[in-house]
Amino acid sequence: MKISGWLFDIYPNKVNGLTLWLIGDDGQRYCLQHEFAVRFYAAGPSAQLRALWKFLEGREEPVKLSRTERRDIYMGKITVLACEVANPAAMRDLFQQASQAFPDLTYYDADIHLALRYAAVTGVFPLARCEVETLGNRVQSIQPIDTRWELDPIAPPMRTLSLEPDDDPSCRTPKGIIFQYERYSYRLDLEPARPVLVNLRAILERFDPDLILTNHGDTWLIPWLASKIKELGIPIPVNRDPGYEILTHKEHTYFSYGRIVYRGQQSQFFGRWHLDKQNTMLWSDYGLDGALEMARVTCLPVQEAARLSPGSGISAMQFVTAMQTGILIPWRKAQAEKPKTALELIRADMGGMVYQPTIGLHENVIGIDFVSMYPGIMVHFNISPEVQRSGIALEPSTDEPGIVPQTLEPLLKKRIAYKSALFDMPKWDDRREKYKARSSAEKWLLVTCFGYLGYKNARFGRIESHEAVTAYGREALLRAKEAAEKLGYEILHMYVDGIWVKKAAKPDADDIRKLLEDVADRTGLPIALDGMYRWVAFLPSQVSAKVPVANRYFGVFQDGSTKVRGIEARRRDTAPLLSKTQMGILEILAEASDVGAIRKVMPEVDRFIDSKVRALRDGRVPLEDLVMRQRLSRELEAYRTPSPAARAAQQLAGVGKTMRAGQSIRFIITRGKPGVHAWDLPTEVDRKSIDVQRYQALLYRAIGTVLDAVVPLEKPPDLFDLPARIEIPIKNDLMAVC
Amino acid sequence: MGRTLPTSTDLFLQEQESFGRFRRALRRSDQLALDDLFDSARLHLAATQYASHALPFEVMLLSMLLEEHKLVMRLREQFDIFSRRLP
Amino acid sequence: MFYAGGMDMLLDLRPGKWGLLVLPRSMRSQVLNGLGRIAEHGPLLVLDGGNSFNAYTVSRAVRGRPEVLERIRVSRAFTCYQMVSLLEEVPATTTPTVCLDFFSTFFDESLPARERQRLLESCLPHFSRLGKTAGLMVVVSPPKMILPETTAFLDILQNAAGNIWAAEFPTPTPEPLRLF
Repeated sequence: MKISGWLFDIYPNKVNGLTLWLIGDDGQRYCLQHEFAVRFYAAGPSAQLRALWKFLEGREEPVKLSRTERRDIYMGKITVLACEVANPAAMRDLFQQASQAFPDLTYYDADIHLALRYAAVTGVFPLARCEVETLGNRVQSIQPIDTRWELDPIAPPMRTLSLEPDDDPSCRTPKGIIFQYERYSYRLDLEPARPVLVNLRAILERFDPDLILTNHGDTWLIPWLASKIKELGIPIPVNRDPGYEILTHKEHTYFSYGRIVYRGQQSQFFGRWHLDKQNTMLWSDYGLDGALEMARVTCLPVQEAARLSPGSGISAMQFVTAMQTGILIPWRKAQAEKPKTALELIRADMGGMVYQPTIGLHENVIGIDFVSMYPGIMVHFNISPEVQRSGIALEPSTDEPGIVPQTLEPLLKKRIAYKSALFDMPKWDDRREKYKARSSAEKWLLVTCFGYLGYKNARFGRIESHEAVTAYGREALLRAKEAAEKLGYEILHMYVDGIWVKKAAKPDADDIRKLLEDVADRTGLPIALDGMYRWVAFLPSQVSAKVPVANRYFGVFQDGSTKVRGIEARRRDTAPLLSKTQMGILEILAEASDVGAIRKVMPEVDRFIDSKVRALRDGRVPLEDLVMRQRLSRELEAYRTPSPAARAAQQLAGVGKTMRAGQSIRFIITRGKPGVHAWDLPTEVDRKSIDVQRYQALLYRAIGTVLDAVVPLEKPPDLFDLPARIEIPIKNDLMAVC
Repeated sequence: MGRTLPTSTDLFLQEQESFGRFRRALRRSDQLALDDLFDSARLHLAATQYASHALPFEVMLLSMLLEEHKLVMRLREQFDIFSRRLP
Repeated sequence: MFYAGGMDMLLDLRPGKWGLLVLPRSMRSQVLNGLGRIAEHGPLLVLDGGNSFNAYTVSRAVRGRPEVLERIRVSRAFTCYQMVSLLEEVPATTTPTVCLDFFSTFFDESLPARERQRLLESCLPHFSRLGKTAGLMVVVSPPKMILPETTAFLDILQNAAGNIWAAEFPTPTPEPLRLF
């Protein structure tokens, strides 16, 4: 039988090969089995390999052993022992036994996700359109009929059931659950649970959704469901594939990229998707499209792609490229750095070029950006762990592209294609949102690829490559500076991949084009206009007005839109009151057509500030706008002097809510001790206890950040009734939060 | 990640701190002038780091001198303008 | 408290048995100063297992002289596998070697302690090898948080080392006050 449709789910079959779920063009959901053997490899001294051979032969799991040659990325062709199992589900245990019995051998292709292996061999990736020949429910052959790089992929028609608790479980225990599917939408009480389960079962059986979309599903709803199913003994076909339990990953905290990251519990289904809106990549901006694009491009199944941690997306893509090109994927990264002299280390160990900005207000500023600079550098100059290089030649490489550029190139191309398409696309074109979503997925992956290149555990990472990228980046930025200065521009600020310049006379379209061309010419990298600003204010540090701070500015473009970086308004841990006030002031300032006109809008700014300050003093600011956020940097017990977040977490612990290191704690600042009231406590904070003085000080400081830059302090004092700077002692720990 | 050496800001602060005792023993007005001098070095941290000099403090001194000289050049210009205006 | 002179004595690298130096992290810059002074007299290889080779500190100790700085070769390891790899790849020459902050990569909790111990033990033959031909000093700073492996790993090293020097450690910080 011939079926055509979309690959919906893929996982190891319990008996043999793997299980595929397809959404057919005919509207049917197919559950198919495909024979798919998987292999791992071992290299090392022949005597040990012979012993490993005997060991594997003696295992219960049937294996096919052979001696063969494969390519190690650094060593070239090497002899390896190949161990093939027909049952991918058994690979993990078998490999664990082998690696424990023979720990000194070098292993490859040992812990690769099945979906990646499948995609490398068949070309069929999650959400791919494909044509399948079946015999009964067994796949005889499968062909992809589109690619991961398709700009307008046709999405499968999907049935979605939405389940939401009627309250945020992190604040209050929900009392009901809201069901939504087709045109039905209704609420059921959580207790008694029996009708909820029975109702759910009926929906699953009759409506048979492909996607169960939840809110707080990973952390609360699905675990609740699972426990009720157990308690009441009512079987619910949550998985379309009977005989499987809901797959739950426990919560854990890990150290990554210099920070503590908290990974909450996750629940995944078999044959059906569970996506939690709180835990789905790019959901709040783009809904489902971002997550679907992630799956498509990384070859990871949607449930996993939606919940990616940094690095795993790029890592998955590199693995696919490696398998496609016959390169072995090492199980453990062991490649060490080649020695450098101390002098060479001083020259190499630098980050991106960051030029201190010229503090102050500037008019007619041009902002130009290198497009995806680091990935662009990796692709154009062939930066890859296995590619030898000496020095920096800013010419495109003619060598065979290494694994890193090979992996990145189609991704970069796709992002650029979406960006250019969006540039010209009319606002009413309904492809806009989808393109933006997919382009964001690409951007997220591209942003992580540079960090991943230098990551100590990245299989294809290498510190020398990482350093080469920053070296190219610095060189490119300096050449761009030279190009701009030659054309008579003054450099205001440079930040890794962006430059701000200005000229005495206002530049026109031709001037801009010439600048971009010259820079592209001198550097070999694509560069684009970020925008032409009416004015930009580069801000000093909060500690000293003379110390410039990188990437801390706000400005208004020619079209009246604003751009803000590095101030309270942009930080996720600030109280919304502060960011709203700053953005409000900026929006009023943006009405001024140029710097001279700013004076005209100042009265409106004053009125705005006045209203905000009064609202705070009178207790009329909505409580949500006063909520501060801070991460717990360690476990509660590890604090010697608890930070505000820790004190709030202690309060939550007092009512039975344990917060882990890496989690974000929300609280309101109160007077006296303990000085905070955790936002997620069952009792609401008493307005009278809120530390209005402190919020006022923070508010003035936020206002000062914006106004001090834009309005010179020599202005006559009758323009405001606020002093220019308020000296109210702010405790150091709150300083860190704000 | 992968960074072993201090950032340019950290380097600057380390160097500044190493003169902590000297600063302490100065008169208040001299302290302010010294701080100002260090602030000038801070304007050129990117170039200081890019220089990859084995002794970054020497480049910081050069930065301070640079800012002083820019001031001298400006003042010279002003002086020339004023002296031309005098009868 | 060691004086700079004392550090020179400790970092006296000569072919023979390899040496173990157990120091608190706070003494790191003194070690780096000592490395600088060794390099004034000849080449030096540094295997950095804790991302602690601050080249600027070393540079200041030798007044920035490039001919000295160029005599120091550094390789960094960020995982214990890389550390083992580094040791495997160092040829037996006469260049004295210092293994800086050797412990750091072995306290990565994402790997089981058993595996890390196996890897640690596999470093020992290389220590002997390098100690014999050129002189090797292994510098360790036990982590602040006392983990079960700490004593075990320290014992393994101390039993294998030819010479051991340990600095006075500051009194341990008191247990953080518990709320409940």
